[in-house]
Amino acid sequence: MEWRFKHIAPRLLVIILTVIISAFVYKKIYWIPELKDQGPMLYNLLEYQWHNDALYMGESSNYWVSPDDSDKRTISDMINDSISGMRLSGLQVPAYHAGMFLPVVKQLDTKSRVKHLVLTMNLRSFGQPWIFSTQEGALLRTKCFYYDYHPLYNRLCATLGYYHNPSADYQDKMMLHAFEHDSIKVNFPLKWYTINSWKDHIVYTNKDGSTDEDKQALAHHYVKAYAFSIDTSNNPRIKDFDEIVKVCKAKGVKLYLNILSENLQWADSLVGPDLVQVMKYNRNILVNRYSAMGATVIDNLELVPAESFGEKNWTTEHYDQNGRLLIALRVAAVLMKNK
Amino acid sequence: MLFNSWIYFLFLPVVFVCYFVLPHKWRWLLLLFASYIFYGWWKWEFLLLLGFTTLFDFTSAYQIEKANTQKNKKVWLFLSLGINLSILFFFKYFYFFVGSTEPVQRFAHDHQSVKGLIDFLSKSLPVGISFYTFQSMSYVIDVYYGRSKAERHLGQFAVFISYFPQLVAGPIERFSHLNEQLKKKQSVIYANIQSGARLLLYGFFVKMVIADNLSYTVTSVFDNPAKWVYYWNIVGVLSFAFQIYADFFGYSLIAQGTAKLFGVDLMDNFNRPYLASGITDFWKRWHISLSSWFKDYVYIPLGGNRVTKGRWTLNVLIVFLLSGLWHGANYTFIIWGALHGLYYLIERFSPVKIKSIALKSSLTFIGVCFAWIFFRANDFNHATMVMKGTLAQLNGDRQLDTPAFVFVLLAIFGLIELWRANARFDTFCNRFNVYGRWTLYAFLLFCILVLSGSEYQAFIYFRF
Repeated sequence: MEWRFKHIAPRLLVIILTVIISAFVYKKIYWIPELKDQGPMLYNLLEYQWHNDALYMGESSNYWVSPDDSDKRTISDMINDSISGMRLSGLQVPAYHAGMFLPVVKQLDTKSRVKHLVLTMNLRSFGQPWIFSTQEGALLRTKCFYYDYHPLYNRLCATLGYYHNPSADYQDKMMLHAFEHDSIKVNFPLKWYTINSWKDHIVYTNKDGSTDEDKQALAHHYVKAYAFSIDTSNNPRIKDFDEIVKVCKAKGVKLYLNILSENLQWADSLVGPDLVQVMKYNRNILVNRYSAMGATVIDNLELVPAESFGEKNWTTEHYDQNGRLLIALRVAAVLMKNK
Repeated sequence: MLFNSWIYFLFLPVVFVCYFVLPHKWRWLLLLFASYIFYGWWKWEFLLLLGFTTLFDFTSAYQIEKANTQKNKKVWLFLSLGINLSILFFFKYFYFFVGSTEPVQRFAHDHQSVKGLIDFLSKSLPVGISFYTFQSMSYVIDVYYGRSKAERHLGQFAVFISYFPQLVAGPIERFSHLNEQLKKKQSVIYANIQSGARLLLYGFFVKMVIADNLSYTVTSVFDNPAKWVYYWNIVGVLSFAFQIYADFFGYSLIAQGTAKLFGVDLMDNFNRPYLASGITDFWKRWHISLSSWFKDYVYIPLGGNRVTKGRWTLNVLIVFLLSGLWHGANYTFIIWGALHGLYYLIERFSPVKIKSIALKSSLTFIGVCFAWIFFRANDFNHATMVMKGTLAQLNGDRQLDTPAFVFVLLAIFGLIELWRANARFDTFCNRFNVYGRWTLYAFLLFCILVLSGSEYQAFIYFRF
């Protein structure tokens, strides 16, 4: 065989044709079933956007229910039941943050029925433990399926690892570095300005003088989760939310940012009022920034009482039926006002 | 760098073009540079280790050849083997045999620097260390026995040790076979590119379509055998047998295909092992480069079969136990090796001689699959759970939802393997006319693009 055009050309043509046919067949037959597993939020969006006036995008806070709840409805279902004349559905995947919402929001069809978009704004997602989560690599892989390219190209990106995939070791290292060095910059005095120095001064002891390991670990966890200040020029969540605001404006969709309730009472009793003040400081940054940008910020940070938080040994935004209802009614009221 | 990563699809064409553009005298430098980038892409720190092994064995072989007395030759040989095995032991086995023991853990608890080292060793195994160490050791031994001449060009020797297509998972090449090819002045030959491309295409199909699609079934079953109905546990074990074969065979094909583009022939590492008619036959077909390494450098020096029956039995067990241990620092690998040793001895000493080849092949396959349970399991208890699962003792009631197309693709793979008989895939393609060949290529490409496993998965043998 020789290097001649008449030999090479038909072979190249077969390769190109195979790629084109593969792209066509994948999109027609395999894409949607695969999206159901690999990119569930986009899978639901593609369906829901034609039947809903509003969408609620969030993480596990939307669907978590307490075993004691008689009302098992999600927050989005509760909102839907409280907004007459409108229809809303929830899109939720655990551990999702603004970086995951953004490509899905970009895929919202401008011809769709959706005119209102509610996004959860989870204060913890702006902090180091979430930014440097070991889950991030898996989330970024899922994100490949959400891009606005041909589905086959997106699939190949995921299959061939064409995405940022930080190792668990790297993420841990970055998180520990941040705990040690990231300064908490607020406009009021604190006793300690890094997470490590703060948590190292929290010691809980039992009556017999031994360390109360559980209580101390929980207090430390509160410090790790909330003792930070949002750097609006560098925080990745800020960049993503800024972009989401722009995308929603361009698509003519009204954006609502639902700042989720945190357990301020426990933060106060376990760590002290300084931590609560830091949390409120961060909340104010978000409210001011995104209200100024034209989004409707629904501030629920202090809404849910401590007894309605489902998990007592961790910081989560998992609420019992009363907590979920409180948030749902507040969001529903804002939606009805803007109907 | 992984073969099945986007960066490799850029890396390979760039290296290929640069290689043939450069004058012959500089090509070794390009190959060395490319190989070190390929290896360092994962963790550049371990390049120092690769460099040290290269430098030390280069010096050792040179000194062995230069030495006037047998005693001096022996000193350099044992120094080289000692250093190589010490590095291997330190990075691969130290944590398992020493670092994880209670007294060491207690000591580390009070000493931060020791704790740091123990943590590092528990997490960081240099990729491919077992492969390139064995390749390097075989070179020094060959020079000692006069089977090869010592290489005088350090750079050329470094290319032999680090040659990127086979650096991290073999085939473990012999110096006499690979080095001459690497030194030879190669030119762009259509037949080489054709063969290389065919092997690459089939290799990616076998790895990304067959192995990666089986991973879901295997992971589901081995993660929680108590969950599934017993026959799904059996399917899980069988799936692992094909997953590990397809994964490693796919890697070997891609390695061969890549090397072929540069005019280099790497040895075949597999020859349809699940058609073996006995365990002796199986080891002539499975991971051929490793089994022949153990035969040449362990079994024969121990006396091979020219010893008493008792000593021979011991030799066989030593070889299989070492082979198990080579795979990793875990008792499960030792059990896996011991089982194969046991099968080997049973086959040799059994008074019952089976005549039916089909029956012999079936029994061999069942035995191999049983041993795979230990290879895949995290520990002995885990292996026991999987075995109980296959025997319906766990009462799981869930059905796995493995898509049917996975088994259809596996069947197609099986048919191709049966059809190609002893021919390598690139020569197998020559049986078809141009239309038949290109239909096959188009089908394989379609499967890679559309039906490959959607997870980005490293090769299983990378961790060894």
